[in-house]
Formats: sequence, structure tokens, C-alpha cells
Amino acid sequence: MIQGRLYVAGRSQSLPATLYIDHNGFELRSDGQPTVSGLHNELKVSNRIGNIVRKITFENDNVFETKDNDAIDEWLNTIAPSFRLMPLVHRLEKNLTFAITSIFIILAVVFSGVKWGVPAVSNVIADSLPASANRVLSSHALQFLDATTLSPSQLPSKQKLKIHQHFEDKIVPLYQGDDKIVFKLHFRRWPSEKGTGVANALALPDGDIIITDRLIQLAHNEAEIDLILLHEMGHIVGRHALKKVIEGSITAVASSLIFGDISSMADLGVGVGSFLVSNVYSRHYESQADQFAYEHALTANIPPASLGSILTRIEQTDHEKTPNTDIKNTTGSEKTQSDDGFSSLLSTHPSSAQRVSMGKHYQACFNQGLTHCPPP
Amino acid sequence: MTQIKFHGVGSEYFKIWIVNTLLTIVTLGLYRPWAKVRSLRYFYGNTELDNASFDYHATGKQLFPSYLIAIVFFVLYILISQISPILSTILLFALLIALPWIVWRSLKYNFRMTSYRNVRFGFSGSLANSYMAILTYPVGLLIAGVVVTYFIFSVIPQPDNLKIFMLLFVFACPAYFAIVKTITSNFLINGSHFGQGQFSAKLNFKPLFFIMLKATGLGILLIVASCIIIYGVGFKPLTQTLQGLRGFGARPNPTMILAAFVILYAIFILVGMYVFSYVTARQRLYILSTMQLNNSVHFQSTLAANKLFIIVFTNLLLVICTLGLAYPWAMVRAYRYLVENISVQADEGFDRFISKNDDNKGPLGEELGDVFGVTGIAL
Repeated sequence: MIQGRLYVAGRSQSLPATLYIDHNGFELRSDGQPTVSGLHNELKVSNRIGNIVRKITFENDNVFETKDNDAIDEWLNTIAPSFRLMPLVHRLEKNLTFAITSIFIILAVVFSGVKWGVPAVSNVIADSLPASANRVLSSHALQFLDATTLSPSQLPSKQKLKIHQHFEDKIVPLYQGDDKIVFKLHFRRWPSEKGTGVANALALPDGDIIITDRLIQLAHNEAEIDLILLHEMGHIVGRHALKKVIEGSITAVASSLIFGDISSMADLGVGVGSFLVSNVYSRHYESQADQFAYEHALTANIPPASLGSILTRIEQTDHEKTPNTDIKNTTGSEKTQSDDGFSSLLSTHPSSAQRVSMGKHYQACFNQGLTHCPPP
Repeated sequence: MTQIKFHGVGSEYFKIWIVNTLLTIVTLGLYRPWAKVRSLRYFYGNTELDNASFDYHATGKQLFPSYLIAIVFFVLYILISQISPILSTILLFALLIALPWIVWRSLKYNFRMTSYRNVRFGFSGSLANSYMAILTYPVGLLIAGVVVTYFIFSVIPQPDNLKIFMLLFVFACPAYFAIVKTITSNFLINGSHFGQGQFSAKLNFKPLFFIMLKATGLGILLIVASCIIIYGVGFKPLTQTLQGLRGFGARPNPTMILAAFVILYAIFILVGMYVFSYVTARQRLYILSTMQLNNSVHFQSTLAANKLFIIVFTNLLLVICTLGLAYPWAMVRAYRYLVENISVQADEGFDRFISKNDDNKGPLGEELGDVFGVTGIAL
């Protein structure tokens, strides 16, 4: 016997009613309405959520409403033992132990998803995309940079020609991949407030490498420029730009799906979170590009420590904030040079200390005359 | 007058929410429509007026196809915006054009899926009015504002133009928000119905303008006052940074700048929250007092700005300190306060309402609005 109220289909008026249920079927009695009886499968019972009013809809769209959730559940269990999903969800929702376990499961899934899942998935997608994806990504990028940030190079053409020749003859052949990437070297000036220009190098996904005048001026020898160029080639060969785009998309979609119901209040938190995540990813790619540069430098007999020396020199001479730096550490302020945890989260590049120690490792191999070096 | 009651409990909703989140993550987002239905049913089902509760009737199965379409659009949008800034601007523009349609369809669907005492709500506002309220007026007035600004700076000479602009700005901003609020609320309320009963309200610009004007004054006053207090107390990071900005004193170190930035940011959040609470409470007081259902049901708001501010503010602290885990409690608390401060006076009771057969539009608009997170912004 379940007490409740009966609503006639689509009407707001209700009257007290009692529902009797047994193995054979149901019977509904209410004042002023004829008694209705029938089989179980004529009833549609709403899913239980917390302790909100339960609704049973009859075939004629009349609705029986009751607060006696437990009685309904008891009845459902006896007549319909078949597996249904939503009652299971409700049982999970009642269980405090499961709720607490869920917190840890969620943390573990999110953490491993961010750390391994997303990079793995974007690797697979990026590697299976045709080369035209890279062309789409870098179409008009150079024109855009020329129009907004960069100006023509002011280096003597003899020097440019020499670097260019060396790049084509010695550096490009070092990469023996079968994906037929055409590397092109571009010289540009990146004006800065101080007037000296910004020392930087950039790689566009389809093979264009841009190197700034200031960087060449700061370089003490050919080897330093070689390593910078190899680093940029590492970005192109590894399809890092494409992977970043895919990773960015996955994080954006996933975070808005999972945390979408936490609206404006948490937008800030989610925004900061995905920013940090994307920085972690881009530091990973910088390390990969470094490694590419070191390994190919070894085979070409170029001292790997050159990368460390030019990076340190750039940092020491140009104490100036530069946006979107690719090769350098993010800012020239004292803060980022120290290797503390917080700034390493905010930085898009590995700290110079890390990069220098990596360089030392490869330099040691170089000094021993090895052309291949086991990773540290 | 009967007060609306809310029977939801933070710990109960916490468990529902955590299971929702877990299942959403484990199914890579596919469970989300079901999660949404369970959350909404929990809140509606626990909202009670005069011994009867509200209900939300959409099912996960019903929402799922539209949800998938919305996801496809969203993924395309994200991908394109990552690749090309120009294309993504065009897409944002397209989204803006589609917004009134999305909101309109979403309103129609959500009202239709909501019931009280076995009778469905409905929304019969027209698409044309939706474009009027959400696109034509807000964007048109914005363009007018830009034109006036351009005029001021190009015609009036140097020192005066800034003063005139500031003066106009202080009045034009509240006026703008008041106009938009008047039009969207009129559109929303006069389009809504409960069964055969029609909601109606004749909102005027003037009371809403005064509310916005007072809110603006309040905001400016609070920001100036708190800056003076902090400066007066001689809080070192802020004074040093300000001096550093003006070019004298020692160059402040980054930690100081960071501290000053955090403090200024906190001030803006606090003041913003207070102004928001004030505007919400006052607008609701006015809107509910003018609103009726079928000329026989009247409404009243007892929302207080200060109390709302305290709740919103402590909720924010709670959510930040627990790294988001307290979100369900915060939701329940805010919802309870917002809902329990609505009183309803039904002269003839609620027994005479009958569900209307509406055109039953699908949930595509609702899901698009949800996935892109735009419905809330528009209204």
C-alpha cells in the first residue's frame, strides 16, 4: 500500500490516492475516481534521485505521485529483478565510501589523462595526418609575422649567404627522414625597444625556419647557430606545432565538458589549469627539440655544449621581456633563472640550468668521441 | 503569500555530483546529458511550493543526439580557433548571429520540460523578438556608443573630450544595461506560460536605470574607498608598485608587483561581487513585484543584497579552499537562498491549470547553448 496523490493527465488538480501492488498487478484507489487496476508493464516509474517525489505514469497519462520512495524501490526489486542502469547509479549516489573513492579515481584519471593520455592521442593523430595539415597550419604565417612583428634583415648579404650555404650543405642533410620535409632558412630582424633587436629563432610547421639578426650577432661561432637551427628542425620534424594544436583542442573540449556545469565561478580555475597544462606540454617539446639538436650535432661532430653557451649569452645580454620567445627562456627577469617549482610551471621552456646540464651530458659524449649518446 | 521551499542537502547533492563527474570522465563525456538531467531533477524536485514540487522531464536519451551534434560543432570551433585567428573571429561572429536562435530554442525546450503540479510550463515568445532582445538592441546600442565615442574624440579638443567622455560613460553604461535588461526581461516573462496561464510584466526603463545608476555609483565609491584605505594603511607592495609605475622610488621587485596585483584583483572581485549582488537583489525585487501569472498569481522577492553578497563571497572562498570539492554545497546554498526568497500569492489556488499542447521543438538549441556555454550570458 503506497499513499500519494493522483493527477489527471495534464491537469493541476490532484486528489489523495492509494496504490496497491502485488505479484499479479496493481490497483489504484482514489476518492471520486473509479478504481483502476492493471498489469505492472502498464506503469512507467520515474528514476529515483535523492528523495524527490516519485512519479508513476499510467497508460492514460494520469500521474500518481508519492514521497514513499523506499516502498516503490522495494516493489521494483521484487517484480523487476532485471538489470537496469539508473537504479545502479542511484545506489552509487547513496554510497559515501564510493563518493570518496570517486574523488581519488577522478584525480587519477584526470592526472594520467593529462600526463599520458592527451600527448599519446595527439601523437597518434598528428603522425597520421598528411603533410598538408602542416601546410594548412603555416599558411600565411610568415606573411603574418612580416606584417606584424618582423622586419627585413640588415645583415650583410655575404654573411647571410655563408650561413645559408652552410645550412643547406651541412645541416639539412643531417636529417635523413623519409617524410621529405623541405627546410627553408629566412633571415629577419625582430625590432625591440632597446634597438638591439630580439635574439630568437622560430620554426613554422611546413619547414620554414626564421632566425633573427640579433641571434646571429650574439653567436660566437658557427656551431652555436648550427645547434639553434637543429633545435628548430627538431620542432618541425617532431610536428610539434600540430601536436600542440591537437593537445590544445583536446584540453579545451575535455575541460569544458567535465567542468561545464561549474559555470562562471570556476572558469578562472579551469583557464589557469589549461594554461599550466599547455605550458607543461610545450616544455616537453622544447626538451625533445633540444635532444634532436644534440643527437644530430654529435653525428656531425659539432660540440653540443654550444647550445647552452648561446642560450646563456642571450639571457645575460638581453635582459628584456620578449613575447613568444621560442629559443630563449620566457623572460629575462631574475625570477625565471632560479629553478623554483612555481616559475617552472609558468615557463614555456625548460629552465636554462636544466638545458645546460642536458648539454653537458651530450658534450661529455662528444669529448669521448662518440657519435651516439645514451639519454641520461 | 507562500514562500518557495528548497529541500536539497549539500551532502546528498555532493554524492550525485561526484558520481556524475566520475561517469562523465570515464565515458569521455558521453554521460553528460544524463548527468545534467539528474542534477536538474534533483534541484527542481526539491523545490517545493504549496506542498507540490517542480519537475524536469527531459531524459538523457532525448538530449543525447543533440548533444552529439553540439559537440561536433564545438570541436570544429575549437580546432579552427587554434589554427586560424581570422577564421575563429568569423566563427565567433556566426555564433553571435545564431545566439538568439539558440537561446529561443533552449527556452522553448526547457520551459516545456519543466512542470509544476503535473502542468507544463511553456515559452511562446517569437524568434523575431528574440533577435530584437538579444542581438538588435544590445549590439545596436553598442555600435551607437562607439560612434558617439569616436565623435567626441574627433570633434572636441584634447583636455575637454576626455572629461565629457568620462561623464557620458558613467551615465551611458547604466542606461545601456538597464535598456538591455528591460527588453530581455519583458521578452522572457511575457513569452512564458504555465499551462494555459500567461505570465505578464510591464517593466519600465526608469526603475531599472536607477538601480544600475546606484550600482555604478556604489562600485566607484567602493573601489576608491578601498584603494584609499590600503594606500593609507601604507601597505608596502601597493605603494611601492604605484611609485615604481610613476617612475620614482626604487624599482619594485617582482614579488611586490605580484602581491600588489593580487590585492588589486581581490578588490575588484569583491567590489564586483557586491555590485552584482546589489543589482540582482534590486532587479528581482522590482521585476517580481510587476510580474503576474494569469492576473491571479502574484510574486514577491525578499532577496537582500548584503546577505546574497555574503553567500556568494563565502561560496567562492569555500570552492577555492577545497579546490572545487565544495562546489555542490555552494550550489545548494546559493540556490536555496535565491529560491526561498520568492513568495507566491495565488488568489484562486493552483487547481485550474491545464497543460497546453505546444509545438514541441527538440533540444538542439538547448544543447548548443549548453556546450558553448552561451545561454547564461545572453539572459
